Amino acid sequence: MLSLSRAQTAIEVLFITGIILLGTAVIAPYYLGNNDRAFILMQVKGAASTACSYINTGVAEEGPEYAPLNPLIKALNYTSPGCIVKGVGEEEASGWMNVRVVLEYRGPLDGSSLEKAVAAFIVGELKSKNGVISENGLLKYGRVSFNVTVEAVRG
Amino acid sequence: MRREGQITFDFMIAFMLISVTVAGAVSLANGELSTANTIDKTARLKAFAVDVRDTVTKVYSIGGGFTVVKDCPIELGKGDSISITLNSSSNSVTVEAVLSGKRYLVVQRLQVPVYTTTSVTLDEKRKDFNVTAVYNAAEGRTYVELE
Repeated sequence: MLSLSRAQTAIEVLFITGIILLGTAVIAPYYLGNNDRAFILMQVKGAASTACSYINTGVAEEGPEYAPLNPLIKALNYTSPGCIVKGVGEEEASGWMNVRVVLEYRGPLDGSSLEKAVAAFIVGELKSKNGVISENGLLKYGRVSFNVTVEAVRG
Repeated sequence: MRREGQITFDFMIAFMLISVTVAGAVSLANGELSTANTIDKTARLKAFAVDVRDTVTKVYSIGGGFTVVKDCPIELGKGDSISITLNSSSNSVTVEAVLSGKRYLVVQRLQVPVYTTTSVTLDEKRKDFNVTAVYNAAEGRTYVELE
């Protein structure tokens, strides 16, 4: 009698464990995907504001990290364009996510050169520090494919 | 059944979780630290370049014979150097620093004319330099020099 009831408990435990594992298996990918998106947005915003403070300081550091931004600093004659990150947003495209960064700056600087330089810097930062890889012309982190576009507006 | 001296399974799991958290925190901190270091150094060099520019203006306006001694803004270790150049052709001050193997460059336009290109290099041993105004009576103009 004693050994029988023990066996029954074991089956119940197995059953409950099965339900818990199944639930986890269903929820985890969705949760992880969301987590990846949040992480990407956070890192893009971080890299963009680093780029802005670097440009605003107006001191060129030689090295591969800041190479995309240095021509900009030279073009600005080492002055500050008062660049700030106005916002970061995501747009859903077919099968991938487009991360849009909006910068605001002032002065005579050409907007498209700022856009290109900051986009190149953000991509470099993501690749070197956050384990983002290039795949089929898009960036990929975890299971999320994405693209970074930078838009510069005069404030 | 007591097994003293044996690591329990619970402990191993707890240890693994803590290790994963600590490893994550360390790698995150490393990335943040390198960015913070760059921003700190560039900000100091910028402030220094602006300071030198203003000092040149001050020395020029006070006139011949006036000297200001400037100190190095950053602690320089072995192999580090900062060279400051007053450039007469572009009428600007250039600060070029090598700090722990990385090169930094900043240029500030001067508000007063300099007629000669002069340069000093600060390193581990040399920690200050002079900004001097020399009045040239024959030409009737004031030269600002670094030495």
